[in-house]
Amino acid sequence: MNLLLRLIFIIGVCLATVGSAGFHDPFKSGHAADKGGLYETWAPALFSAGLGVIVVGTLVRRSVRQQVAIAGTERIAAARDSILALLSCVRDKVADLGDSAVRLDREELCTRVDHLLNQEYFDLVEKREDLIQLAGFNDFARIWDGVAAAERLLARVWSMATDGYLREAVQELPRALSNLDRALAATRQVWPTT
Amino acid sequence: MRPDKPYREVTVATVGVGIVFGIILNAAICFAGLQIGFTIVGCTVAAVVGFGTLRGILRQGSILEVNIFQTVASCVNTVNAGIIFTVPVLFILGKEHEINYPALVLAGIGGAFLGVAFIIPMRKQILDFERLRFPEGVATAAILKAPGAGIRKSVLLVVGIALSATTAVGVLRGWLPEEVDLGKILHLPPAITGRLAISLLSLGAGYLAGSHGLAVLYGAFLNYWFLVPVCLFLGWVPTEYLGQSVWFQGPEGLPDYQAGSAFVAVFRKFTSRHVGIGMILGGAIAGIIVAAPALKAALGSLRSAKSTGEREEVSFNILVLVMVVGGALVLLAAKLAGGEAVTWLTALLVAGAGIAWLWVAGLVVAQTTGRTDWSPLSGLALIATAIMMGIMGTDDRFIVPAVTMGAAVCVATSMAADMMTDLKSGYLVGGRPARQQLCQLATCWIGPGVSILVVWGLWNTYAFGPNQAKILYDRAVQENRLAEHEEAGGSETKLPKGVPELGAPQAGALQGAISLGQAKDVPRDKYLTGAFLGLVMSLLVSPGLGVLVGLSMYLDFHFLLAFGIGCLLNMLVSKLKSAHYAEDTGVPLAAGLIVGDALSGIVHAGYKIANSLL
Repeated sequence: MNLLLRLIFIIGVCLATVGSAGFHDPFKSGHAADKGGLYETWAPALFSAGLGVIVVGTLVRRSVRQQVAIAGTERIAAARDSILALLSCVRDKVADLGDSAVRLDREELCTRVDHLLNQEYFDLVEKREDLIQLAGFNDFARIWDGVAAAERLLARVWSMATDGYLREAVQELPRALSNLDRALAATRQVWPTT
Repeated sequence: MRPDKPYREVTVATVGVGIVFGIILNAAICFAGLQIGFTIVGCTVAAVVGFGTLRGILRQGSILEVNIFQTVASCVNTVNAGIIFTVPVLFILGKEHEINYPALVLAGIGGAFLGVAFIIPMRKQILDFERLRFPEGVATAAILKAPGAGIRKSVLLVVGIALSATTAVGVLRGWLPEEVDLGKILHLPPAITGRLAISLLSLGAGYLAGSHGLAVLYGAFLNYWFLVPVCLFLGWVPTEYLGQSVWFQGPEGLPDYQAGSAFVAVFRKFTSRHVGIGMILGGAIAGIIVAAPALKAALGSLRSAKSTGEREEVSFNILVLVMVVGGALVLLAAKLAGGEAVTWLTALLVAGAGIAWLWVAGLVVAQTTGRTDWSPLSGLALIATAIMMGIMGTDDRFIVPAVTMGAAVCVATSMAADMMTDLKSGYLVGGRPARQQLCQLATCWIGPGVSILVVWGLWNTYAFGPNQAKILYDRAVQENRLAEHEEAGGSETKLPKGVPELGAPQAGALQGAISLGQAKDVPRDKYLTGAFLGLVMSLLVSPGLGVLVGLSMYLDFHFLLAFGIGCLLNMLVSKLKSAHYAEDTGVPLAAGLIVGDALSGIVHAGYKIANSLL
């Protein structure tokens, strides 16, 4: 079905683009004896047909998605739980890092932050588009605001630690944690039963 | 670094040295841009210089301090793209005595302020939520993080730089071809172009864009492999190509690939660029519609005071002040540039339309740069000039104010892209956005004056444009030094020894657009239908699709193919190894490819300048 939908959209875009290319004075292409023609003969029809095919494709896709949503309730719940589990895991790791940071030297702190950003955070970011589909863009933004702020603060921890400023680096960890808590709180508002 | 001293991020020395380096880079790239026809963004170069100066020589720059250095330096430098795409045309058209230089500087400064101020509220949407890649920003962050990235990543970065720099130098010196004609090798019809640019920068940018950039390749195939042959078949091509087949058979019946390439270049100007720009606009408008709730929330959070912790963005009041000042400068520039020919009411209309267009164009360029590292700056400047001429009229006396406003728009859009790129690298190294934004707002006004001064200086010293030799010859005649001029090898068609060739090709494109506007021959319907299609594609098919497909219709195929191969490489590595591996190993290497090309471009520009002056 995905392949069929893609084919519909490709045909629509191709038709409409060709139509658009015909919107010039036909005199310029030697198709009219006198200057003053409006468009090439088939241009408006091709353009409209292309747009029509795109609209049809959109309606088909919407219908398919609605059917999948109805039939795939368990799958949707599993996808949502997976994202929540990842977010909680990231939060717990940052909390753990904050608790143990005073005992870590520069290299250990950098390694742990690097690992967190390149593994768990990377996996969470890979789920970003799933989250948009599940929560809708507005709710996604409320959740992701905290996730993104925390990621930036963790990068700041890494940079400061790399430069040898351990104390300043560790001071950023509670800020990262509070942003992740904010993200988790937003998920509980979006999905109160989880 | 000395941990007993406070952590350095924004310091007077860093900002000061950043400004000085930015001015030098600005002047050098202005010169090189008039010669070679394109500019270099400079973030990666600034990062390398900042790294070497602050950390290497002064032994005191922190990662975040070098980030601020490159933010300031690239801010002061980047405006040259906006100036050299627009201002030189006034000289080439013989209007240098009508130019109001204070108006030009005010327009540039106003445009710079507005470009930065308008794009700042979009930071969360573009960087945090959409997570646009900004390949140049990623490459800059890779340089900044080099000290702690580990041996493996540093080696990959250096290998990428060396590979790309060597290839770029080889192409610039003529040891390597600029492109390979795969179409000829694979015996494709000449009208179906298969040229591949030898550009590791494009390959690296495509790799960093990944699967999200693949739409660029789709658009390239749509335009060059579908639209071109179909229009040729339908006869929807300029008269001289009516009846031509895709094989472009020469007198001996063999395919003529040169003729095919020439046709494709003509078709781009006849159809592809106009439809493409329209699609980009429509796609950008769709993006604004989709992002409107997020934008509203962003403005709301800018207005509300932060209760805990440091503010993420610069304050709303500062942004409003900068917008008001920028708007006032643009209005004043519109009136001064037009003189008596432009009333205050017309100036208000022109400034208002310019500012509205500037906002849309800034969003467009931030989106296209974020997805591909390319921006249709010249195309947007053409439209700005056309809008201005549409309001004021197409009379000769309105060309100077129209181009002045075009310069404001062009400077604004280049600043918007630069601000977002800098904020991306800041995001990746943990910089505070508000600090970068304040530094950019505080220094963005410096660049326009530098660029305008350089352009004025080059015109008075060497002239530029397609008729550079003739202009210098005529000056020699007027100044009674023809004998001396001819002794140095100068003639009406040849430059004297020691004078660099400054073709100013971008100005030629704007000159062509002005002629179209004056002849009332703008293909408005292609823009409109393209815009509608771009809007529909972005709203109904996939967000951002209109912008990417439009961009690939606007740009040349050979770079698009290299970019698309980079995207496919990323997807292949992710599939064969893992997404982690593709990120961990591929990103430093790809970043190195971007940095190497930029560095060699700067070195080559410096070599050309030194060569011409000695």
